[in-house]
Amino acid sequence: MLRIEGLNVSYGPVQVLFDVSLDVGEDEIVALLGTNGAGKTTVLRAVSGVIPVSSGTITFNGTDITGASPRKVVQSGLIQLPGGRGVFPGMSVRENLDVGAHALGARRKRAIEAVLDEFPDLGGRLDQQAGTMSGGQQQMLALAKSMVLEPKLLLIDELSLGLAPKVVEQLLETLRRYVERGVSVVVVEQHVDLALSIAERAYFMERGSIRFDGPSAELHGRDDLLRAVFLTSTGGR
Amino acid sequence: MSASVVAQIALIGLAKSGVIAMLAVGIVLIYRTTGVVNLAHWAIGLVGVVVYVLLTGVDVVPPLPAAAVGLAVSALAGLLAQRLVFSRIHRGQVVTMILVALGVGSFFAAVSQMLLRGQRGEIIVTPFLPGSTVDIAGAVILASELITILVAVAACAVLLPWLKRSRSGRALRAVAQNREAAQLAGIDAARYAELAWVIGSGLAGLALLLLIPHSAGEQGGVLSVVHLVPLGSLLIPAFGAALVGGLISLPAALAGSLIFGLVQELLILAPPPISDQREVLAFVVITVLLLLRTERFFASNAELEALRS
Repeated sequence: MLRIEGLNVSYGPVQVLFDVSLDVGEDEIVALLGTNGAGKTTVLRAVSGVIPVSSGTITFNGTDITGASPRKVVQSGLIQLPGGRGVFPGMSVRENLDVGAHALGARRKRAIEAVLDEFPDLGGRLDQQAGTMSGGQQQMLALAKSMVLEPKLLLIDELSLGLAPKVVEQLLETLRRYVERGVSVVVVEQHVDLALSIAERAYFMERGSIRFDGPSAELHGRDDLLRAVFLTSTGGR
Repeated sequence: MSASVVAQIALIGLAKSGVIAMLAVGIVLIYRTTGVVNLAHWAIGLVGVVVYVLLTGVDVVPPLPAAAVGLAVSALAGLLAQRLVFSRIHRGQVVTMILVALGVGSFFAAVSQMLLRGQRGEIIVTPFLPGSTVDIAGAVILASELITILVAVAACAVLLPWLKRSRSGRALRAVAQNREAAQLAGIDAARYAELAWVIGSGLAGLALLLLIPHSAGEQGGVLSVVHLVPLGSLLIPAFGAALVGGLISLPAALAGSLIFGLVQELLILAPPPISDQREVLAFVVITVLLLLRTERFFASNAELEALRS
């Protein structure tokens, strides 16, 4: 479904991704893990078209989307839930969903109604300003905002960051419902156990390169890699 | 001092507030969507005024259509400034951005001077608003001042609901609040940044067109070449007003405009040492607002971080 081959990305003179290759199949949940600053978010941003690619190719459902505009990527059904600040805090829940569905044009009203059926909690808060909601509610809104665009593949940058386990469980439950209906997911997570519990396959990144690629269960046994995450993740981002 | 004199000065102040508000709204829109502290704002409005002066000077184009063309030229100048210059500078390079804005302002002021070359000293301007006066309950002001107040109110009455409710207005706000999140929703951020420049620069053109002297009888007013400068005197209070909202809140910028315009005029009534220093006062207020870091009151840290990235 998504195939990344030999991806190199630089921020100015500093190269941050080195020959990254990654595959995501149909109906699959893939975890992208790694230490702080390993380049996980950069991979997602390059795929979504918000930063330029130095070299390499990105294909989605057979179409080359390397260097495509974010708008084109969204229209192809590849949606990213951005990390940390996925909602527009100064806007109401209703406005957030409306802006989130921008690419759908005149179809947005129906798409928003469909999403509100899946996120009943948000229905009662349509006029609340997003910035005044709890972290969990904001993340729920961010997820709804992504789902309103009817993704075929969803890239999630840090679903669980700063949220209570109970809230995370609720988010995952909603996510699983979409996966059952055929939405594929790439999840970037700081929380390794969580990621490995939902993903069948995992990639592990370190300093801009892929260090591991295989079944989640296998990565579970790789203490040499995972220790780095546990050592750094205690200090926050 | 009679109440009608105070009322008269207050109304003149309101007209000034209107001009400041139209400038301040543009400054805020442009800053929020593109991160540019637009010191070229005045000069971009000036280009529209010069085109208006040239068109009416040849007596072919009637004043009102000429004013419309002037406004459109300002909007176009803003669009070009964004597309050719500002879109190529990284948002985080604040100092570069400010220096480039000064350069772009000087460029447009120079273009204005060049277009009017051969007309040294004073230029007779054909007005497009009536030069008559109106009496509002004993307070006598120029019709052009009353029209300026009404135009400013109308501009806000159209712009604010549009930003709040329409699909494009919401998309523009989304780009202003968090550019990357907006892009990830399929919004063409570059296009909406240009739209913000077009609206802001058009408003600057409108504000300056309303400011030209409309009152000197049949002949119209006189515009001096010394007015063709990159930073006009009202740009300072306009930045002051915009800073009341930390350059990010439109309602606060509007409130700031109201206060700056009114206070600057009403200070005429103060005793001499103060009434002579009305322009300086704007600088003092701006300094205080900058020290207060007013943006804190209108956006969370996360929002401010998103603005700067």
